[in-house]
Amino acid sequence: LSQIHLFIFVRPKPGMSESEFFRYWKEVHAVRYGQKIPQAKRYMIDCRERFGAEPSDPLWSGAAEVWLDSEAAILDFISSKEYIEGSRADEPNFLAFWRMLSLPTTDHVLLEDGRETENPTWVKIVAAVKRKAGMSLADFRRYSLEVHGPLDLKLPGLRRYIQCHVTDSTYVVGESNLDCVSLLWFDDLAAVSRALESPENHVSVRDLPNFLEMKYAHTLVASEHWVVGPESR
Amino acid sequence: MIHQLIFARPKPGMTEQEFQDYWLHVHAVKYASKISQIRRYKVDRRIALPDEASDPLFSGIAEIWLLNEQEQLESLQSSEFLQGARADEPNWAAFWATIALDTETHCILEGPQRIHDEGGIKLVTLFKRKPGMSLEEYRRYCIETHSPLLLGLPGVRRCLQCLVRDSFYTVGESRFDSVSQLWFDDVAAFRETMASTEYQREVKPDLGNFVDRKYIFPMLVEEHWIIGPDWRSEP
Repeated sequence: LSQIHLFIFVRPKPGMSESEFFRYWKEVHAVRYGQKIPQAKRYMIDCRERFGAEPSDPLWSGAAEVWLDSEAAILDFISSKEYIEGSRADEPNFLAFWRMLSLPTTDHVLLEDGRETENPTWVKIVAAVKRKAGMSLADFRRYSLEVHGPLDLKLPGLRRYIQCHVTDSTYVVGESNLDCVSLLWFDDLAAVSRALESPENHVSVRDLPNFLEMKYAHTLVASEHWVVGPESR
Repeated sequence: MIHQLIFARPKPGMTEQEFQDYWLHVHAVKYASKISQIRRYKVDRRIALPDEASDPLFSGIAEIWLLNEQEQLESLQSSEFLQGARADEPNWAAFWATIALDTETHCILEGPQRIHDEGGIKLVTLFKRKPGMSLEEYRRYCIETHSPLLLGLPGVRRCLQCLVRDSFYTVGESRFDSVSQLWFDDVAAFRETMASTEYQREVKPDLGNFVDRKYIFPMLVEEHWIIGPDWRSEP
């Protein structure tokens, strides 16, 4: 049984500012409801950082990352009293729940750093992507890990790198919206800038159309906030 | 007009019969029909055939007609939805397994008025396009090439092709690309159509030209109007 790394991408409800959204999420929603769901062994909030050209209407403002013991635990999580009466009931108070995207994944670690701390100061690139039309899922996963992964590993300043592949069960009833979430950690925003401007990144970017559907490639730079973790409970 | 199709199944521990009864007599009446933006509302109740699996993917479909995306957004933020329908979902549905699709309906065969008014028996099938086929090409093939073959089937009384709207392709791929709806007089007529030479020789082999065979999910249902067939007057 492999551990599940669940991503839930979110944005504020109409009329709520991003800063108020983050405050409510961290101080109210996560504390009162999110952390009470027993199946969530670890729970992190990723908040979008302003970085580069600011989009007028960002697709997502952040993501919840939840770690669960197994696939079966996803069902226990979502059908739990704590989720239904707590977390789910509170969602409309701050987020556009109809725009939420949940992706259950399993981790493939390409670079480990061993520096997970209670108060992370680093930032990470979160890239949620879909494979190129017509490419098989098996080919996509292989290419992403074995061909593209090594290109990203050359990025200067990269501290940690994980590819999270969407689970097979997400492809049983129709096609999954997206196929993979990649996480790339750097010391700070300046280090992200340096990495993105590097010649190594130009090589990596040129490779993207070989396996990605570019209109479905979404990137944000996020800071981390542990609600439950880094130790698994 | 947005024709929304919501495929749902019972929460764990609830039977299909209990689920359908709750939907028709409690959820639809007490909550869903109170949402003023809903112009028409129909519940399709799955008919279990003896040769089918005992654990179906879905036990029913809600069909909801909304004027446009603006009204849809209003409905999602209305207290009737938030404190009513949405809050009631966990009481009966495995809401995490729900598949909701916003579609644009193309009428292939209008059919007799009786079927519009009283409902009937129909085959509803979810489809995803063949890997590598563009969405535009898929939609064109579905309407212009495949649908005329459906018109040649004996026993089909009415036929709709519901194409998933562009808004479902902004973040990633849509789970499904289209839903077909075929009406029959009764279960016997449905079985005869499926066994016909026209279905076996024309329709079935043609599916391989444009759909992904691993994502074909058919289901036979009977229709129940909650609001409709006449449009609800302005709120």
